[in-house]
Amino acid sequence: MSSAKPLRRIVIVGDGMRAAMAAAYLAKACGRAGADIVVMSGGEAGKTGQVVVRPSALRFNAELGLNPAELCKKNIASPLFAAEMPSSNGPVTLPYAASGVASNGVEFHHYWLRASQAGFDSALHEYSLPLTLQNARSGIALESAAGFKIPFGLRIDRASYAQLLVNVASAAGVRASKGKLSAVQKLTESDWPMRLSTSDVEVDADFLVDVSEGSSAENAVGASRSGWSGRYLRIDSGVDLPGIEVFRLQRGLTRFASLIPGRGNAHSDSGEFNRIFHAEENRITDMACLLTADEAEARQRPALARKIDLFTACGRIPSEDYEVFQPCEWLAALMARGHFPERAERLAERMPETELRIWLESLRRQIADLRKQVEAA
Amino acid sequence: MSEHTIKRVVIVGGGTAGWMAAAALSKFCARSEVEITLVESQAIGTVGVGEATIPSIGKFNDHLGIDEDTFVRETQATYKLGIEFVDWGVMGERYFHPFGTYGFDLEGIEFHHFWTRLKQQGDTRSLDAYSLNALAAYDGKFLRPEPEHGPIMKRLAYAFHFDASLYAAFLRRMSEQKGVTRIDGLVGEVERDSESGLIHALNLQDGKRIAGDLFIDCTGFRGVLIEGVYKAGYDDWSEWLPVNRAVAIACKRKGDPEPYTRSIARDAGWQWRIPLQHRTGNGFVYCDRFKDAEVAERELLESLEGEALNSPNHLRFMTGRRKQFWAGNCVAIGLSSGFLEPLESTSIHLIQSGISKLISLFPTKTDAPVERTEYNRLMSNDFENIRDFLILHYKATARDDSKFWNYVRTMAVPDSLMRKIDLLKSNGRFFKYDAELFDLTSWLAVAVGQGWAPEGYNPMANALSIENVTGSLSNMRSVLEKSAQAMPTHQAFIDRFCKAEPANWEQKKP
Repeated sequence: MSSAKPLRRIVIVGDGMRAAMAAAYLAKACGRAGADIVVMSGGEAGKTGQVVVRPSALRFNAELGLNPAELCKKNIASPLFAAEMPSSNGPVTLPYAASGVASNGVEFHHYWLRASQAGFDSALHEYSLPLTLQNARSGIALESAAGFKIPFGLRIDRASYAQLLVNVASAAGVRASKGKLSAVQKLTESDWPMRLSTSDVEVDADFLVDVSEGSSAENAVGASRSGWSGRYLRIDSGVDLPGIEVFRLQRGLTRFASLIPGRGNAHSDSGEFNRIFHAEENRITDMACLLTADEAEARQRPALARKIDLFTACGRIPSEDYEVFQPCEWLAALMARGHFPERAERLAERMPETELRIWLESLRRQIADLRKQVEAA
Repeated sequence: MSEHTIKRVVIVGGGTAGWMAAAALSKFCARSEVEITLVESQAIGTVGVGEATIPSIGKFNDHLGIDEDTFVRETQATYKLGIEFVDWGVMGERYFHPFGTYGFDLEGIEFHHFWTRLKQQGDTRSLDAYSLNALAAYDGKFLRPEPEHGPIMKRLAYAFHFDASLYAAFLRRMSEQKGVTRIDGLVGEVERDSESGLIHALNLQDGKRIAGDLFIDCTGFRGVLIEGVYKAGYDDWSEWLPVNRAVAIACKRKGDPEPYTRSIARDAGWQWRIPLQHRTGNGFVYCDRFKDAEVAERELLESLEGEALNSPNHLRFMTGRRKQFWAGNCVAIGLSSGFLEPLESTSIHLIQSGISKLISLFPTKTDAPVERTEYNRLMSNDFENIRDFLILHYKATARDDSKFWNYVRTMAVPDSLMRKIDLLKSNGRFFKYDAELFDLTSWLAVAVGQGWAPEGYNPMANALSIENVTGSLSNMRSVLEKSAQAMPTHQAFIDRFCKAEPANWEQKKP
């Protein structure tokens, strides 16, 4: 069976954190099956500063043996309960967990909305545990945060994160080859399908993974878009929103590893990869568009227009296949951009109004008490 | 007509769909000051002939607060662990489509890649050896998983076989207790707003007028409102799913009821067998281009395991779905919304899915274009995802013994299905859409069972040594076998917890 013959060598083209992520993960995922991983690096410094890791990427780190508590202890990371996004109205904070608690299968914001429309004066953020933790003046230790059992991401120093990933990659046997990729040659009369060249070396490979910030391999291969084509996978950084760069790399790499091709034809695998990869790209662009574009531009995107319409009509946020952002993030973004539901979901009416007010008051008090405790700690 | 706030819901039709809708809406609208009226006529029979379900029915009943043992007793139900398919891939072979999952993943790699690896080394064990549901089903065992039974038993997923007419009657009692008004009558004229086209009221043939703000069409294939009034249109899928007739009959049961449905492929369709506590439901679904009704009836009668308990009931249908499930202020639920043959027991699931989506999107005003559009989109996805899975059963066959099988084996299939087949057949890859009902286990069961096992596997499954893989899979088999052996028999479980009163057949005969 051709597909069970594992890839012998994967060359990664890129620098800094991006190349380190790819090398560490692919070495872990494919190295066990015998693949040789080579990083072809142009030696560029890459970006510096801090990088946001969304909650969904923590599993990726865990698979590489990177524990968030240890990263925080080393002072190279801090927990993140919400991400601040740029928008046309100024920064918008999108929490990684919902406000309040759902009841009887109805999301909390419907109850809040119903009460607000009945004259109960409170802001949604007053019920938000993630925003309370995020806004704690002194910051909050990861150990304390973990006790609340809500999703959290990390803000990490990019260079330190890259170095940790390099350590993982090196320990897994990844080899580095200095030099900027100058040519990719398809081989027809060789045991190898391609040869990659820098000014100094030539490396034969079964597969090329391009995570460069520029387009060195893209030009060499002649591909025009991110995605998987033949023996070439390109993962670009995507839309410039906090957390998206790492998300795209993490999702792209893990999905590639789950579809990891053999040396045979992988046309159906690459087709599926691209379908999902581009669906996620669309969801990310929807969010960027909601945050920064005007209404007319937003309406050009059917899935986004549907979100706006349904949310405005009845407070629901329809889900598409391969969503990237959680409903609580969409909720915050939609409201920040001036979209408010005309009514709450009818199921929220099942709770008697007096009971609803007492419940909301109690929840609000609990969050306020918590805020005091966190700030006093 | 100005838009009204919805205060009156009128359900037309009182079969399984109608009473499921009434029970759910009366529960969820309890404090919303919404009046619910159900109009049905005893002059119109219901299609319900005994239903097999999938595990999601348990959630529906839970939401309604229905005690499971009471439900089983009241509906003469038995438990269902999956479906046995006989003669589908080739004549003389059978396979089991279980609920639940196969085996356990190893090192983050899905189980079936290791199974394929061993298979390529000559191992002949079927996937059934790694399914607790399949092992228990073929042993005639059942145990309702409880937390104290531990993590392995938690893997046992189950549904029910039940008498749909008894279920409707059970839900009717429940709904009427919650304030649903039932009116016996036949719909005559329908009053509509001349401008908006929204329905105002139904005039019954006996002269009663039933006014409403939202109308739920549960009138079965006829679609009295959705088609009769709104001309919603119909997408015909018979090019891919050509069966268009069925004949159903109940017979006396022989032996203890098996905890699974059986589906036996015939030369122009297939035959179901659904064991209930008091009888066995049987039916033959076929395509009238390849089989006469009389022949179908005769073949069905000849294959019964016991004495027939009623007269054969013949049905005609066209596989497909309404182009609009919600039009104006009318929502079609059940057979009025479309029809997919009961090959994977999805009829009740689609009712349930329609109801839960309607409740989530329940409108405030009579005209709710945004909610309507979203409901139609979601229901279209549901129907199409299930459609593709059903087509797989016909496409993945080596049978060439009849014109029917030659047609379905060689027909072109939708692109969405082709993509899935390519991925699964090449290297066992599977990606589930968010709203997709059937998961990897289901697709694997049918594809492998009908001779389309993955040709390759994820090369990362080679990371474990062959000894390690062999040992791990051996342990899995052993643990699952022991768990299945420890369960009581299906009949013993029913006898202990939920045995129904014997049925009175004199009352049930038409």
